[in-house]
Amino acid sequence: MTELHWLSALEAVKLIKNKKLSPVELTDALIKRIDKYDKHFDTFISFRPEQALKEARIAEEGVMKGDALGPLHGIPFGLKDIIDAKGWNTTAHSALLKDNVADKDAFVTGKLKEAGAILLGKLSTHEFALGGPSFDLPWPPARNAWNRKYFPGGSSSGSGAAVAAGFLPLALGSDTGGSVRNPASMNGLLGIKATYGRVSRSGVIPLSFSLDHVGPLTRTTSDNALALSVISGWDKNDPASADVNVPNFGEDLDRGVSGLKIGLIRHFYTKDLIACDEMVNALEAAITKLEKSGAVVEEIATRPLQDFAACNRVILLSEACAIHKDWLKSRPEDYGESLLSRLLPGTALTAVDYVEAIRTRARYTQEFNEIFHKFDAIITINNMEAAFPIEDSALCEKIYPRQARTPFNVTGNPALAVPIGFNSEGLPLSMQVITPQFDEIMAYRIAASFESNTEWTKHHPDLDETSVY
Amino acid sequence: MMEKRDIPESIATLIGPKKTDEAAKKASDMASKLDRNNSWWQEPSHVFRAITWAIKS
Repeated sequence: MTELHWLSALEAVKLIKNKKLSPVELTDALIKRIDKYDKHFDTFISFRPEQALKEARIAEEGVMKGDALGPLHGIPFGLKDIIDAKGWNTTAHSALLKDNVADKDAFVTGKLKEAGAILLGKLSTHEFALGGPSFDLPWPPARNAWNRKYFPGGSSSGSGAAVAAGFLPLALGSDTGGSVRNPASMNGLLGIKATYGRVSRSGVIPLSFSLDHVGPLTRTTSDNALALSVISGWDKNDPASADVNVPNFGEDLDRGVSGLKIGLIRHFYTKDLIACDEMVNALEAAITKLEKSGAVVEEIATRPLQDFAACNRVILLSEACAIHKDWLKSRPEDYGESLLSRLLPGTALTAVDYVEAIRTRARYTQEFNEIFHKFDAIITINNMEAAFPIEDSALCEKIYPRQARTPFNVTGNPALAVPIGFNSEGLPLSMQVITPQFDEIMAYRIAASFESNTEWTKHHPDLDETSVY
Repeated sequence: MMEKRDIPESIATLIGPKKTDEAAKKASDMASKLDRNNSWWQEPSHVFRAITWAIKS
């Protein structure tokens, strides 16, 4: 049998339901691994092994008694530390909220618990899901599971690194300008930002109301589809929540891609920004693979990346400053340098800037919707480079914005990060699959076909090597 | 055309002139780069009004 820490959630659930694996055994194995290695990766802010073991024993009793079992029965999970869990601190990785205790579960936390999953810990993030990586906060930044000297992506940095390290099979992150897909990219994971409105954000500390999404990070496509099926659904407490049917997002995983029409946005990484050769080569190889599987891939043109980035920035910072205005006026010194420097420009934007950006957004969304009249999906790059050394702040400032994720926060389309290989340093590479609104099934279908024809998701970091400094 | 933006005085006094100046420059740059080629009649909000949204109870 696969080592317990590398079991996918789906594999583990099958074993648990067949009484071949105890939730206690699985939880204990993950706790031991976290105890041994997390001091090198700093993925957890809160970690409650005793509580998790207690819940695992209850889960085990449920199996033995023949209770009806949820789709994630006995599976440990983690939450980015902006997502509430009753009785746990939600710190947003910030001195401002270091003593903040949640009095109820976020909608998504409740959904995971209803499905039988067990909360093992709260995970490192960039401060308030925006500033970072930072070394001036109450907790250190998470590090890349493939090499602890490197940035793990952000802002859901702990979620990405913990899943890649085999600490958890599943974690939730949030994505306002790419913060699920970035750590997915840099840690070799699947990570989705579903359609805006698909997953409730109630009980999640907001960064930008109209751009925020919550999404799962996993090591396999089928786990990601399962997790999204569990956390999706209408919620009266989220004004943006969409009252739509929640399908089984994994229903087409075995259908293949034969006959699908896929648009390729190449200018994002060859003209608007210039991606590194290794990333481009891996993406071109992925396209060839999909074509060999029967997909028809056709290059398409959209407006340049910079247009989307400008629109995203004005909306994000205007909304973020509406949220942070009181602290900015009373306690600016309690923010880390990175977040403060990113937030402050938002205080100078005008109401007209914000309204114009939202009007622009409507126009850009319409343009994208028209593309989907002709194509089943779009593929493009995720990051322009693989991960970079985390302590090189100058490099971080330069490389962090070099990405192609913000267009899909602007338009609200589903966007799934999919691993496409490794660079010469052994660091993961990634593409994005984008689909029409509320058609996440198609994104998973394409990712599953690609995964079945490649070995990328079967590679795991050897923490005895990658934890060495 | 450069869109000059200023940090509110209540914040500027707390963070000092260096940070104020840097933030104002960044904000001006962001405002300048925004595509404002919108028609006068274009509503800002329809993107959030998905046809499938139900009235909340």
